[in-house]
Amino acid sequence: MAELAQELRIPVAQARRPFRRHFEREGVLGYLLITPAVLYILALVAYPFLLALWFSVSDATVGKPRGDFIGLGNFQWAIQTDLFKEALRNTFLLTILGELLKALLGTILALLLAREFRGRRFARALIIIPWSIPIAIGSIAWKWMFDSTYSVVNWAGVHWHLMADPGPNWLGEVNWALASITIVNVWRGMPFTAIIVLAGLTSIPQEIIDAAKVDGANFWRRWNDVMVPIMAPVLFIAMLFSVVFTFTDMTVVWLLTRGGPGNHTQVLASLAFQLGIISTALGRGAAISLFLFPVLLAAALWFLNVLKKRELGI
Amino acid sequence: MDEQLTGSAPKALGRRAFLKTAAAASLATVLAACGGGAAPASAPASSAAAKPAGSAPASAAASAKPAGSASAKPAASASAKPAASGKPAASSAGAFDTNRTFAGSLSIIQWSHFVPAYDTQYFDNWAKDWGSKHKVDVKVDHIALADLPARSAAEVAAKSGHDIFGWFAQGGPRLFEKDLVDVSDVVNALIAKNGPYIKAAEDLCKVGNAWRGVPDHYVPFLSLFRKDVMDKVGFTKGKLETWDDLLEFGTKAKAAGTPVGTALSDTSDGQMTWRSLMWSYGAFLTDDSGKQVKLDSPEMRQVLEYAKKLYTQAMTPEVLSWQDVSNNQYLQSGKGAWIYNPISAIRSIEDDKSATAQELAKNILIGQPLAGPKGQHMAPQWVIHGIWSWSKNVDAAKQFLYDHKAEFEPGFRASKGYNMPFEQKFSQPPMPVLSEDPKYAVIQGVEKTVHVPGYPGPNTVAANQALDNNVITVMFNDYATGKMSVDAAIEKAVKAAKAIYDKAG
Repeated sequence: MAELAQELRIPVAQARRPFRRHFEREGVLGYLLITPAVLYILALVAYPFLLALWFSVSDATVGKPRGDFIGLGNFQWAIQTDLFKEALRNTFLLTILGELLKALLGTILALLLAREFRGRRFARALIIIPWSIPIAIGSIAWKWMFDSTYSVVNWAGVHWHLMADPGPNWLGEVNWALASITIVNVWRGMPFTAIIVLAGLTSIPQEIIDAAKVDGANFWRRWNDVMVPIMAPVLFIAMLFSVVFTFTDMTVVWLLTRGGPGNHTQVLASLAFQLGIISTALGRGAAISLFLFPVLLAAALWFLNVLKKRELGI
Repeated sequence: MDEQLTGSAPKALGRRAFLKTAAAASLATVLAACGGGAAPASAPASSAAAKPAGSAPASAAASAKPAGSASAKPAASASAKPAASGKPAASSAGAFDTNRTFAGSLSIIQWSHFVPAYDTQYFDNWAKDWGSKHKVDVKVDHIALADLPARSAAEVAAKSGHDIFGWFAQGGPRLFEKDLVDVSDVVNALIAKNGPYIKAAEDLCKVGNAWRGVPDHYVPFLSLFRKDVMDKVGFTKGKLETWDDLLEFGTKAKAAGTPVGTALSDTSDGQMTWRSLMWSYGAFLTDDSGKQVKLDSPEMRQVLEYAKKLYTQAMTPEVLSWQDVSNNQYLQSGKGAWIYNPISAIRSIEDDKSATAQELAKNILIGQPLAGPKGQHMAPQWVIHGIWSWSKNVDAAKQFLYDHKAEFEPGFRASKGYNMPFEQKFSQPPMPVLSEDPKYAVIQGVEKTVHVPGYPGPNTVAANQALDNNVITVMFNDYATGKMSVDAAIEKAVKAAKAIYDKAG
């Protein structure tokens, strides 16, 4: 073997291990390494998605999962239903309002955390807590804070003369209920925005900021013309994630209000769950949940397209 | 290069080698998981030890696969095969010989009782003892009642889970008829032993000619009112018999700072309370056939007007966001002068040994369901048990349910009179527990007022879906709070109901 290898000028180690050499090829090893991720996506994302597509065009129920094909009947029913229209409106309202607040407050927080002050590291660690604790725990804690009888928020507000007794009916009146959901959403999502913006801020070379200052640019000029363009890729990706998470969020709504009072705070995700699982109408639930898909796909493509154009300088 | 030609010792672990090793390890793990995945990891429960309600979700998740199903030895009897549906065994009490033994395991899931002592001091221990006697590993899981629908849907979708499923105020047998074992033999044996049920039991559990569920108990909605507040505000009648009495008392009580309260939100309590009011005024969701939506009627307008008056004159806005436990808390806080609820609310106050609670309990009295112009009608909550068709221990499950319901008094005592019997015989006064305390004696005879969702028609799939979709509670909320006119609120409810009933056919 050694003589043969020497004759052919092949390294001995390679000649002795042709099987292992095969696996050293990028075309083989690369695909092997991404196979688990692909299988995961196929099994837990693609398959349920395709199943939901089937359910949405069938009259499947939990008791009769092999439903019959009914075409677009479920979608037609949804569009004609006031409950669906209200859920759609709430979904957009909560997402847009929530994202605006998260962007504004998260950016302010990031700018503050970018400064040097004593205890900055501790403050940064504290800020991340709302994002890191399980959403169910946070929502249940807020539910108690908004409770109609035992609300600590109302108790404090009334005792500090910030609100008239008994205080807002946080979860019982529609507008206050929507506000409550937004508050919990923003409380939870703001740290994510802050951390992303902070990461973007710290990645900007200080010389560029200093040069802008020397040129006489005030804060807003520096922000608009220097910082945001540099951070844009990071901001766009963060915003894309945040919008998708908020748009599809069901947990906060379900745990705070269960879509009430009177189904007036339903969002598409919670309505799909109530119809598809609680009421066993799988077909209708799937149809409602799939309304999110084209909207989110369009949003994602738009974000990525804008980002690509920026990168190409178009 | 020279080292490679001479075949010298390999270098220290480099990046490429690390990646190859990691890939091989991952592949080995996946193969090992696939190869050893036939047997569920959960070990058989050694006993049906009581589980605190707080741990129920974790234990429910752990029991998603039948406990010990892979490790159970084949049963000596034919219990390994699910019973063929549609073919009830001979209905004979002899078929349920309480001395029979089985093998394998049995898992049950049901709600966390609002009288915790029933679970912790009676049912779980009884199940454990039953398992020891019949040589079956019995495991009982308790979850919050609001989680039961999703749980049952998950078990049906997966065609695996517990052997016995206990529904609370949900139409399990109707919704999952094809996935439930025919338990006519169990029910007929129980009827032979204990006598007939009230009609509600058949409405809930019998689908076509087969019983798909075994009735366990129902939970009546009663007036729990503060006698001291009555005296204080000068409500001289001293008791609440009609909905008009409630409005009069509630108006005075609110003016005195202790309003009345009943959920105007999408809760099980709200569903039953507003149905009770509707039926008492002759207003219904459907006609007698249970197929035609009949919400738009003069009686419904009358009921909605009443509800609006009750909300504005006698209640406070906090009822708009109530959960099922909120009215219990309301009464317990001393703030509420009346709630419409089962007796769990007062039992939990009695269990609190503080002086304040004892004083409060003394002042709370109980009244029968309220009557309206069209009589005294009440929508209760209920518990019924079904056996999933994929259960590997159907015979043991049937014996369990038979033995559980064969005796009435121990369970009734353990529930402190909460679990009202479907059996007519056990409803006859003097009933244990209730007849022993004048305060609770008034509950006797309440079975005459009981109807289930769907009344006056049958308890259909559509009736249960209308329950789950909050058609009635949304309508009451929309009008009572002034969001909509009465016509708009009814029109919206009719549209929502028709969407359900038209689909059901």
